[in-house]
Amino acid sequence: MRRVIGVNLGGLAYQLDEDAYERLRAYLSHSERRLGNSPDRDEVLGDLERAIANQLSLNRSLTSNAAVTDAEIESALRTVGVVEGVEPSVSTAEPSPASSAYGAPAWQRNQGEQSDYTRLPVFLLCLLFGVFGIHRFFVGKIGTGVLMLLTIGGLGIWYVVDVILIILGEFRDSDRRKIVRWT
Amino acid sequence: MNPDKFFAIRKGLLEYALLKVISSDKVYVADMLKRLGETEFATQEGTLYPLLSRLRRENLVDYEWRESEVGPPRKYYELTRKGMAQLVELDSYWKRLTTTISQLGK
Repeated sequence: MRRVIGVNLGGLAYQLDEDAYERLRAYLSHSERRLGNSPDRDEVLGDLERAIANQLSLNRSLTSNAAVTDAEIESALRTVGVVEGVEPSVSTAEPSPASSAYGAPAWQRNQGEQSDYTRLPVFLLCLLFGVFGIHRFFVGKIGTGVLMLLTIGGLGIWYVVDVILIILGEFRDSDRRKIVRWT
Repeated sequence: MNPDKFFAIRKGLLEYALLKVISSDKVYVADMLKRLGETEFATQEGTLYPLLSRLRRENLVDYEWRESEVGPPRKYYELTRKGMAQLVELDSYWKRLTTTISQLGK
């Protein structure tokens, strides 16, 4: 049996299936970060919740008891859109992704965002043990890490490419966020 | 021509466009999205709500709650006296700008 989670959106109760809940939670916490310490933060978050609830109620019949699916949430979030236009003076230092992080294909996700991993440890791991793919395991890229281990750093070529990517700050973690900060 | 070149222009003018829309009637966000959606200023709630909150903080707009039959209650916005004054100012500024631009081309 799938897990279903009850939420309150703009004063209305909804049952969300697990994936839908995760997507909604990610959207709201992302919006909260975008709003930073803006004096309007709580008001805008409330507005967005009501807007999402409004989308959900428009798109489903009143009698439907089925849990809200991930697809329904995705479509609602795509209509509502990502928080934009918060004054720079009050927004956090987070760089704003050019494209929406929600509803985008996996390879496009988080493209403009910065990783929490720092470059120095990743660089040292890559330089010392890179042929075994250790730096890829470290940033959560298990699949390509194993591949790199089996091919001994892609016969050394892949190893060199990764060293250069890390130095240039173009190397990405498993969430496809660029690893930019050195320490 | 790269359409994104004009993005900054539209972004800067969105507030003006929005004040215009609100000046016509008491509107809630879906009305604004619909009106703007037919124009170059098509936008989304994620952009409108932060802007509306700021306009309200600057005392340019105000809203009242109304119940909705399907979803959660809605905020209906209207211009305040200060908002109307600002719109008149923007109108004349916009006219000056377009005059300047067209004269520069001569």
